[in-house]
Amino acid sequence: MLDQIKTVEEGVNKLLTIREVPIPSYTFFRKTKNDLTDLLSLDGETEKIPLPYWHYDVRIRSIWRFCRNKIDTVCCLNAYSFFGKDMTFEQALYRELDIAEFVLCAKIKKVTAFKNGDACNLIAVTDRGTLANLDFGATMANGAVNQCQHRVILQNSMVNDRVVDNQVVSHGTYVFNDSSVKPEVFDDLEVYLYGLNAEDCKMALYINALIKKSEKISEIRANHAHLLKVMDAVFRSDKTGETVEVEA
Amino acid sequence: MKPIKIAILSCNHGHARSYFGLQNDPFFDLVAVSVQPGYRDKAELYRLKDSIPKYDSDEELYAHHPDLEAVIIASANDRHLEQVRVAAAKGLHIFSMKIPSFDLNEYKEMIEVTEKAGVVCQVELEMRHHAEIMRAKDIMDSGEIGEPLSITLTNYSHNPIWWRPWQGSPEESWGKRVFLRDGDPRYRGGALADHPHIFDVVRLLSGSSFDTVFADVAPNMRDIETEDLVHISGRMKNGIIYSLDPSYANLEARVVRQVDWEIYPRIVEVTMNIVGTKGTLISDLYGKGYYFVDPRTNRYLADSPESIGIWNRRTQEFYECVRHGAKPPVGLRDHYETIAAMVAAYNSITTGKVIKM
Repeated sequence: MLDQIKTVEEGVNKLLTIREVPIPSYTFFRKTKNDLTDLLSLDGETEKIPLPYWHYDVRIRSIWRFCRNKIDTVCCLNAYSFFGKDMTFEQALYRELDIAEFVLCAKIKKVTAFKNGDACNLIAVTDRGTLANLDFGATMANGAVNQCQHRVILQNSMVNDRVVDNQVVSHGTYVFNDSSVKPEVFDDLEVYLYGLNAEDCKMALYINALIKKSEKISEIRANHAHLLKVMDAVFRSDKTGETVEVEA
Repeated sequence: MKPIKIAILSCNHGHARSYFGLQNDPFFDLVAVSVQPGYRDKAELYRLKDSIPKYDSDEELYAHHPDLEAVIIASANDRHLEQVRVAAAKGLHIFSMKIPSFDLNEYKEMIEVTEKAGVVCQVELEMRHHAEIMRAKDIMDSGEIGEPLSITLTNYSHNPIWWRPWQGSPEESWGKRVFLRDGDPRYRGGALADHPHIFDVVRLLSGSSFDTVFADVAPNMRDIETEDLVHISGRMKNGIIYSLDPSYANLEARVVRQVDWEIYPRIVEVTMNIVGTKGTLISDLYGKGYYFVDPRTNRYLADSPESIGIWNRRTQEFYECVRHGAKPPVGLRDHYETIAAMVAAYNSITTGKVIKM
C-alpha cells in the first residue's frame, strides 16, 4: 500500500522532491466566496497568484494539446458546466471563460450573454474567428461533482472530454457495497499523488508547474486581467441585451 | 375503425421513409407514393410493398387515386406551398414535414388555404413524442429542481447533403439564395434550417414564447454553401434563458446513397440540460444506444433503436384529427412561432444583433 497524500502542499512538495527541485517558500490559499479561484503566494510576494488549475485536468489539457496542433482547423467549442452552490456564479463564469480561451487557443473579443439567477448562456467570438457556446449554472448541492462537457469541433475532427453517449462525469473506480444503492466512487489517477482527490491533484500539478516555471506568472496575471474584462463584458451584455466587445 | 387512405408525396425528405411503416398500420391505407424527379434511385422504395404504386409526379398519383383522403408532404422545403395549395384545394388532409416554409408570407398562405378548405394540417415534431421530454416536464412541474432558470439543447448530427442534396441547396432548403451576412460567402439554409424541434422543446417546456433571439455561426467544418455550425441563445418571455446548438457537428462519409455513411459513433445526439434554482437535469433525449463495430467499414458505431411511440403516436394523433375532429398537437398556427424564431435567428446572424421578437 502506498502512503496517501493528504494535502495539496504535501503533493506539491512530493512532486518537487522527486525531481530534486528545491522547495520554495509558498502558501496555498483556498478560494473564498470573494475570490474567483484558489490562490498562491510565492517567495513571500504579497500579490497572490490566481490558479487556473483546471489547465492540469488531464482531459482539458489533452483537448488543448489536440487543438494547439490543429489550430487553423478549429471551428468552435460547445460546453456546458454545472456546479454545486458552493461555487459562486462568478467563479463558474471565470473558470468556463478561461477553459474556452485555453482550449480554443484564442482570446474572446466579444460576447452575447443571457443570465438568469445562477445560470448563464453565452456565445463568445474569439480573435481567431472561432466561436464558444457556453452554458453553465451553479445550483446543484454543495460539493456536487462538476458535471461538464467541453467539445471542440474542428474541420474533419472533434475532441471532447466526454465519451460519446455519456453526458455526466465518469469515475475511475466504483464500489457497490451491500449497504447503499449508490456506489462510492474514486478518481485516483496520479500515483505520485495517491490519496488526493481529483481537484486537489490538478491543483498540486499546477502549483508544481508554476514553481518549476513551466507556467509563467506574468502570463497568468495578464490572463487574469483579461478575464476580468471578459467577465465585465458578460455582465454588460446581459444587462443591455446586446453584444459587447471586450475592452482591449 | 376506418383506415385513412393516404399517400406520401415526393419522398425526398429525410423523414419520408419513416412513414413507409404506414403500409402495415391498420389505421392507414398507404395507397401510393410519388417520387421527386431524379430521386427514384435514392428513395429507398424497396422498403415499400410491390403492391404500392410509385409515381413520378403528384399529378399522376392524384389522377390514379381520386379517393385519397390525406397526404404526407415529404418534399424539399421549397415545394411545400405548391403541394399544400393543391392538396387543400382537393380537400385532402395534410401531414406536413417539420418546416412548412421559411417565407412567413407563404406560411400564412398555408394557414389560410388549409383553414379555408377545412382540412387538418398537422406538423411533425418528433421530440414531443419522446418519453424523456415527458419525464423532464414532470420533474419541472414537481418543483424538484426548483424554478427553471435555463433550458439548453443540442441536436448534433451528420450533414445529409451528400445523399440528399436539397438540404444543402439554399433555394430548396431556405427558399432562395440569401447570404448569411455581409462578407460571408455562405447562404441560409444549413444546419439551423433543419432543426425546428429543439426550438419547439424550449417552447413546450418553458411554457412560454421567445422574447429575444441571438445567433452566430462558426467557421464551417465542410466546404459547402450553407452553415453547418450554429449557436442560438436568448430569453423567453417568462425570463427563462435558453441555448440551442443544432449543428451538423458529426462527420459523415460523403456517399451519394445512404449506405456506409456513418463515421462519428453516434450519428444523432439530442441532449438537454435544465438548470433550476435547486438543481440541474441532464438528459439524453434520443434513446438508448447499442454499440458495434461495423464489419463492412470497421468503424465503431452506435445506433439507437427508436421507441415505437416516436413515430406511431404522431400518425395516431393525425388519425384522431382526421376521423374524430381532434386538434393537432402541433398545427400550422401553433408552429408559426417556432418558424418565426428560426427566421429571427438567421436575421440575427445577418445583423449581428439580438432580435426582439
